[in-house]
Amino acid sequence: MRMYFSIYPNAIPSYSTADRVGIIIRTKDRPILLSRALSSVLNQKYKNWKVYIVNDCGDRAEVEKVVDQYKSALNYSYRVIHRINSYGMESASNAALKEAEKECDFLCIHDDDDSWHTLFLEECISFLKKNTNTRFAAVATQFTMINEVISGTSVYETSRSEGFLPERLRFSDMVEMNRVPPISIVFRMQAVKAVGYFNEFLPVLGDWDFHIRIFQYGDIGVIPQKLAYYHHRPKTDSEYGNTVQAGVDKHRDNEVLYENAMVRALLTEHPSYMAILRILGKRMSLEREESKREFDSVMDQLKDTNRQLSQLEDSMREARTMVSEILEELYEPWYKSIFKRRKKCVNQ
Amino acid sequence: MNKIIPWAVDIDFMAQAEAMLPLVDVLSLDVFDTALTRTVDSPIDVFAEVEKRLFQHYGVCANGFAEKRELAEQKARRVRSQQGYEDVTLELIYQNLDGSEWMRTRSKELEIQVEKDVSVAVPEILRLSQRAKAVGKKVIFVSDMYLPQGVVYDLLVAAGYNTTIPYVSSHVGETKSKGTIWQTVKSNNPGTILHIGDDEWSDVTNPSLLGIKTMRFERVISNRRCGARLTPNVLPFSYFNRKAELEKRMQSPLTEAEKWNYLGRTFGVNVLPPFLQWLKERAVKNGVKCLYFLARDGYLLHKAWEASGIANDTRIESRYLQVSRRTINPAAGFFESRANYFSPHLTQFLFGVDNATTVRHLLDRVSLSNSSIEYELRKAYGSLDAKIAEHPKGIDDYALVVRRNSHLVFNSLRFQHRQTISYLGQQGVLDDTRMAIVDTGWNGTMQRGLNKLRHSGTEKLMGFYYGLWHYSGINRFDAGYMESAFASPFELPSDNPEIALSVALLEELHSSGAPSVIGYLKNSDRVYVPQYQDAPEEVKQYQDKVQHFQAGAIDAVRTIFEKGQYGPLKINDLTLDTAKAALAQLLLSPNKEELELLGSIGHAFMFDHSTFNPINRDQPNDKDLAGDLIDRNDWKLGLLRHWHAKATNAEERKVVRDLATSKLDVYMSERQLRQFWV
Repeated sequence: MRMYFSIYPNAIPSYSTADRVGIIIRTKDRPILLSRALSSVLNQKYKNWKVYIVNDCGDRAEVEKVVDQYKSALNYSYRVIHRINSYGMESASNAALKEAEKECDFLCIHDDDDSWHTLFLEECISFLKKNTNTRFAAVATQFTMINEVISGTSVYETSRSEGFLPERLRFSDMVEMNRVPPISIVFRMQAVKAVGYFNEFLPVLGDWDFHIRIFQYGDIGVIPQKLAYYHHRPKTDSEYGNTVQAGVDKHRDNEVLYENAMVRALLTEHPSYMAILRILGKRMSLEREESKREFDSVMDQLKDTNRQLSQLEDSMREARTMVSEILEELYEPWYKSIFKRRKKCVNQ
Repeated sequence: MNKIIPWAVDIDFMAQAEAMLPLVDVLSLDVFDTALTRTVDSPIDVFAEVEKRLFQHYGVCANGFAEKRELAEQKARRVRSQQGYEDVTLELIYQNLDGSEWMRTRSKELEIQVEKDVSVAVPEILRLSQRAKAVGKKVIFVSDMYLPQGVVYDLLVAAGYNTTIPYVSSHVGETKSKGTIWQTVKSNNPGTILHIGDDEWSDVTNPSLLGIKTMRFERVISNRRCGARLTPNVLPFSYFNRKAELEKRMQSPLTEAEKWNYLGRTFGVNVLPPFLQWLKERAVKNGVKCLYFLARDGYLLHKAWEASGIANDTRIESRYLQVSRRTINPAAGFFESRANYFSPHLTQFLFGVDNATTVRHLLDRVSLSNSSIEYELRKAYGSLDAKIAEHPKGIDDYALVVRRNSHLVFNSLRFQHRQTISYLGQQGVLDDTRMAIVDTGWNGTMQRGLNKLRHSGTEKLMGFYYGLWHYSGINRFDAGYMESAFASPFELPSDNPEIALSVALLEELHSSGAPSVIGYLKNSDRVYVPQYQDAPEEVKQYQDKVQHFQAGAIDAVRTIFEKGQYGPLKINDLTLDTAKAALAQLLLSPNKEELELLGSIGHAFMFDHSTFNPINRDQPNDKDLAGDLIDRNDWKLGLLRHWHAKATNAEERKVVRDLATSKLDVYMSERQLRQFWV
C-alpha cells in the first residue's frame, strides 16, 4: 500500500525547442484599434512570430483594408481568419489556435484594443527559454492600465495607472480571481496543447478558466518590468467598449456561475469534500462575526472617547469664559490704579 | 614595436618642459592620460571591449559584464574606503563581481589584455622622458590605478618607456588624490622633483603642497561619459571619437566651422549609416517606389541618402519635399472641415499658442493679415503684436472672431489647399504608387495630413522616422503605417532619453538652410515654388554652424559607404543600437566642447517660429524661475550642464545637481545623472 506520495515538484517541465510565437488578435468592427494592435506587434524587437487575425463576424472589408496597409511590414507572416458566425471570443481564439498549435512554440492573445512595450516578447521568450525555467508553463509581465476615449478616428489617452501582479503568482490566488490580463502573458505551446482549447462555453472569463488550467500544468512566472498595456475605454457603449468595462454585470453573473461549476466539479468527484466546505464556510462566518463584534466594540469605545473629548472641550470652553469674566471684572480697578500709582511716584 | 599616437608634438609644451629639466633632479610622470593614453573615448569603455571579446568566446553569458564590472568597482571602493584604505586593487574589484570564479578569472585576464591593446604612448612625454634620461635625470612614474604595479610597468615598457618600477596606488596603498603618495615619492627620490600630469588636483595642487614642481599636461585627457548604457554598443563611437579628438588636438586651434565639421563627422558616421541601412531595408521590404524626405528636418537625411549611394542597386526614387505644418495642416484642415465646422485637427492648428505667439502669428497661419478681421482683432487685443498667452482675453476672443468670420477663414483655407495640392501633385505625391515619407519624426501629423490630401482610392503613404512619440497614436489610423528606428510609440520617454531630451537639437542639426515653407506660388514657368518664412536668425545659424556640421556628416557618410570603413570604423560594426549609444554619449553626456557648440544652437518651438530660443541661458537666482526655464528649454541636459560648468563653488553646484535630479530623473538613470556630481 502506498503510504505517501511526492508533492514537490509536480509542475510538468516544458521545453521549447524552437522560438516562434503565435499571436492571436481577435477583432470585430474596430479598425482603429486593430491598426494599433498590428503596430504594437510590428514594434516588437523580437521578430520571430506569426499573427493570426480573427475577424469575429465583423466587416470583412474594413479588416482587409487595415491589414493591407500592414501586410508588407508583416512580411506575410500573418493569416486572417474571417468568421461568418460569431460564437464568442473563446471560439474565435480557438479558430486561430488550431492553426497556431501546428506552427508555433509559444502563444499570446493580443486583444485588438491592447498593446505591448517593444521588449515584451523578447523578455518573455528569453525567460521561458532559460534552462532554469522549465517548470514555468507561462510567463506574465507587470502591466500598465490606460484609460482612453475615441473621438473620430483618434484615440486619446485620458489617464494611466499601474497594474499589479504579485511578485510570485500562486495557484490559489489565481483560483480566487484572474490576476493576469491576457495581454501580459505568454504560454508555452506544449502546455497549451496539454490543457486544451479555450472554453467556448464561457461568454466572458475564458482567460481566467484558461489560466487556471495552465496552472494545473505548471507555474506562471512573473517578469517585474511593466511591458504590457491594458487599455480601457470606460465611457464607450459602441463596438469600441471593453468586454470588462462594458459588461460588468455579465462578468459578475458568469463569475458566480463559474464558481458554482468549480464547486460542482469538486463535489461530484469527491462528495465528502462537502463536509470540508461546510466546516470552512462555517468557521469563516464565525470568524467574520467575531471580527464584526470586535470591530463594533472598538467603534463603541471610539464613540465613548469622542463623547468624553467633547465634554472636555465644553468644560474647557466654560473655564475659559469664567477666566475672561474674572479678568474683565479685575481690569477696570487695575486700569484705574495705574494713574494712582503714577501719581504716587510723581509725588515721591 | 612601440605603440605611439601618430601626431605632431606640442612644441611649446616641449620647450617649456625641457627648459625645466636642468633645474630638477627627478622627472616624475603621471601614467594614464599623460605618459600613456587609451584609444577609447572614456576609460570605462575598456570594460565594454572586454564584454565584446567575452561574447565572441562565450556567447550570451557575457551579456551585462561591463555594467557589472563598473558596479563591482564602486562596491569595492565603498568597502575599501570603510576599511580606511585609499584605493582598490583589481583583485578586490573582481572579488566583488557577480559571476562564476572561472568567468571572473577569465575576464580579469581579458581586461589586462584589453588595457595593453588600447594603451599607447604620448609622443611629448615619451620624448621628454628620453631627453631626461639622456641628461642623467632620474625618471619615475606615479599613478592612481587599480591595476597591479606589474601590469602598469608592462604597459609603459610596451609603449617604449625605459622605466623603473612605477609607484602605483594599488600597490603602495597611498594615492595622488589624497596627496599621501608624494611623501613616499619624495623620501625615495631625494632632490628637486618635477611632476607632470593631467589632473589639476592630484597632479598639480597636491604635489605642490610638498614643494614638488609641477606642470599640467591636458592634451590627451579622456572624456568621462555616462550617457549610454555601458555595453559593447558604445565601442564604435568610443574608438571613432577618441581618434577624432586626438586628431583635433594635434592641430592648431580650430575655427568654429572646423569644430562643427568634426562634430558632424562623429555624428554622421555613427548615426546616419545605420539609419540609412534600416531605411533601405524597410523601403525594399515594403515595396516603396519613392521616398519623400520632408522639409526641413529631412534635409540632412536626404543628402546623406544620396551621398551614400545606398539605393543605387534599387529602383527607389528619392525626393526632398518642401512642405511644412504651415502648408499641410490648413490644406488638410480644409479637406476635413466646412465653413461652419472646423475639425479638431484644424482647431488645434488654428488656436495652438506658446508663450510668444501673437495675434499676428495666428492670422498669418491662415493668411488673413491685412484682411477685414484685423480690425476686430485690433479692437479686441489693442494690437496685432499682443501676446496671446499674456493677454487677459487669452485665445477666447480670437477664437470668437475667427468663428464669426469662419467663411473668410474657410475661403483662405481653400486657397491654401489649392496651392498645396498643386505643389504636391507637381511633386508626384498624389500619384497612385507606393511611397513613403522620411522625417526625424515625433507625432505623425504630417503623414496624417498628406494622406488626407491624397485621393481616397490610393494606397496610404507610409512613414519612416528616427522616433515616434506615444501621441502619434492619435494620428495612427489616418496616418497609415509608421515605423521608427530609434524611439517607438510603445516605449516611454525614459526608454529613449537621448531622443526625448534632444528633439530640438536633432531637428536643428538635420534642417535645411531655407526657413519654413509658408505657401506656394506659380512662377513664370508655371511651376509651383515654395515661399519661405522670413527667419533671419535661423538662416544665420545655418550658415554659421549647421552647414559645417552637415558637411562633415555628409562627407563621413560618403566615405564610409564608398570604402566600407572610415577611420577605425567599419560599416558592418554599425547598427541601430550603436547609433543610439552614440546619440546618448553625445547628447546626454557631452564633453566641454560639444556642450559649448550644441548649447549655442537656437530653436523655434512653434511651427510659425514665433520664438527662437537659445539653449544656453543664464541661471536665474530664483529656484522656481530656474525650474521654469528648464521646463521650457529644448535641451534640458545641456542647459543644466552649462549651469553646472559655470557654478563657482560646491553650493552652487549642489543647486544645479538638485535641479537636475528633480527635472531629469524621469528620463535618466542615477548613473547618467552622476555627471552632475563631478
